Amino acid sequence: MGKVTRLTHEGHTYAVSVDIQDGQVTLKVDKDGVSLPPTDARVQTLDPWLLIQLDGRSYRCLAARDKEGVWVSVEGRSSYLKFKSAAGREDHAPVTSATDVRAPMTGTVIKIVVEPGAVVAKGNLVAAMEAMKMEYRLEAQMEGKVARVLCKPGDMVDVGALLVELAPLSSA
Amino acid sequence: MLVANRGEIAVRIMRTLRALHLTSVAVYSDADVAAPHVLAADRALRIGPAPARESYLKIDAVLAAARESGAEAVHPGYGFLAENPAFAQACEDAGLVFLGPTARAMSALGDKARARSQASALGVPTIPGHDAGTDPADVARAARSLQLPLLLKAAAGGGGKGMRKIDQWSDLEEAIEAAQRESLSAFGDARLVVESCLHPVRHVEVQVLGDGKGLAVALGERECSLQRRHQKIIEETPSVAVSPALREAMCDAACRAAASVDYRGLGTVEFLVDTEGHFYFLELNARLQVEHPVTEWVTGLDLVALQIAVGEGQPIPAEARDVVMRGASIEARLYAENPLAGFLPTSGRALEVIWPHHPGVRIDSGIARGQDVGVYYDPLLAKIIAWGDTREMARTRLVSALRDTAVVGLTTNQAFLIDLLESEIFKSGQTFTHTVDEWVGPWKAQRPPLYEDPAFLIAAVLSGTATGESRNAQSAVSPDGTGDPYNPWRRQDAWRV
Repeated sequence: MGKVTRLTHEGHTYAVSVDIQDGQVTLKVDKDGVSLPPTDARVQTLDPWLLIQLDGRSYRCLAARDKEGVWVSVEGRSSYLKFKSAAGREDHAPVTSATDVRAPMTGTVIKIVVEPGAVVAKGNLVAAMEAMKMEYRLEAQMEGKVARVLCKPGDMVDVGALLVELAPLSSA
Repeated sequence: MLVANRGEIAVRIMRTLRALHLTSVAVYSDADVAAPHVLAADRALRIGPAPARESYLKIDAVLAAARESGAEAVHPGYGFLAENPAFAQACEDAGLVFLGPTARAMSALGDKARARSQASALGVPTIPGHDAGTDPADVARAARSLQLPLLLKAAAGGGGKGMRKIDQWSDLEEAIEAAQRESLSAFGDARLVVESCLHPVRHVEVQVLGDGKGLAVALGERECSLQRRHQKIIEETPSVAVSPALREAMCDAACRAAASVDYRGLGTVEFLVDTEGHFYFLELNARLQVEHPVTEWVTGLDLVALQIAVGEGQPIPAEARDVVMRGASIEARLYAENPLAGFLPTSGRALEVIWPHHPGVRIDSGIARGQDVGVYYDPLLAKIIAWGDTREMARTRLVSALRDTAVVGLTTNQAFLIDLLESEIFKSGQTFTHTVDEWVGPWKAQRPPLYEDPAFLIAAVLSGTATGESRNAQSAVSPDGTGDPYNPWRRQDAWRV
């Protein structure tokens, strides 16, 4: 087995190795620790594509790496796979908890409708954001009490930024 | 000519300017210093910082750029200042030819509220509803006089901005507030219109061209029913739902509406069409529409060139007066957005951008490799538009073009477009304005898991190796092992295609 690349995607971990010899490749995958049957394929380049031939069909693929992972496009479908770091530190898989109200995209906070201490029901409007001139409602994912408000109207925030933190009512 | 816009539409307008041997001037914000529209122009002038309100929406800054560049005409594209009568007036006052309707026609028809009453007066059917003004209490009262569900719309503009659907009365106040804020931000005007929500309906629009002297011609229809967040994603012409008789009636109504205000230039008269073939006037969009290329494919006309000709005071040319439609055309809009997460806009850097070069396929793109897609502007990246003798041929060409397109480095709606075009719903033409909302849930659930696609993992792993560095990979050893010494992909020098 060749060098193993560890990737994560939609909550699954893939340990992938590709043995390549004269354009003939064998793919071995461990998905979440379970070995899948190996796959044989043929690989060629047809600039700008990487052509991967599987079961008599040819797939046009393109991949580009950044620091944290690799974007792959196969026949018009693209997705991002994150490298799982060697130190065992998990990738930035969203440890989303229902107590968190996070920014769903990079944009500007336009309003916060709750204050610390306020009680919200599941589905209540908590804040609103704007990106690319469209407005988005951010709702509470659970019933609870507002523990902290970490932004104010006008703030530019990154995707995933924690905007408002809720606490379960029982602990309040 | 100065193009007061950015992105794909600015690039597309400049293509026509180049073909007509006219000098093009781009304007740009700090976020667009090396954007494709800047590179497509003969000259480019900075007009301000990244936020649109301080640059592309700033009339003074755009006019100053026009003066400095010596431009004689201004093309506003769509969005931004395209339907702002104050901008059209300011251009006219500055002695610039504004490539759009006159400020007067725009005020009369670009405004949803006034357009409603104008259309009724002409005997064109309109949707039950009210012009509700700016006071939130008045808007709420007007809304409560109608049946649910209903729609709130920005009186001042289109494009789905400021539009809110109300399904339950408890959402009303919050929705009015949000619609007004969005409308104020996009158009600088908080007036709202409330209308009943017809269901099920198709969105069908008619392309018109007016000479400014009372003559208007229709250039066929476009069906744009497939929408999410009230914004179109797939458009086509002709519409499967429009019979020759209905086409004639709609084109006639559209021409009457445009001629009644001495409409000059390109306009689009939008209608809703119900399942019984009744049509209702929605609005007149006083601009070049995003989806104009499908009309260009079937008519063979260059709509931007027609806009320029009419703007110069020329009569409507014969080929536009006696237009012959041929075949069918479908457009897909590639957006930086995530269909798995409510179609929220995404941002990122385009690490690779590959377009297909297929027969019958046109690409109108505003994105290039290495460009950052930010949060300041519309998330439209490009339009892929296919033509065929038949609708089915246009459809299969479009799907194949999308499969041979790669924009990697950010999440887009590309796979969603492919699957929607391949769905039975689309193949059979059962397209309504609610179709996408209903279809997206099952689509999410049916996506195959990643490990079933070995190509995905092979490409991911090989991307770190010489074999996988496919782009600019001419120097890589050909993995096919055939050793063809004449294979141009294997040359080691700077030879380029």
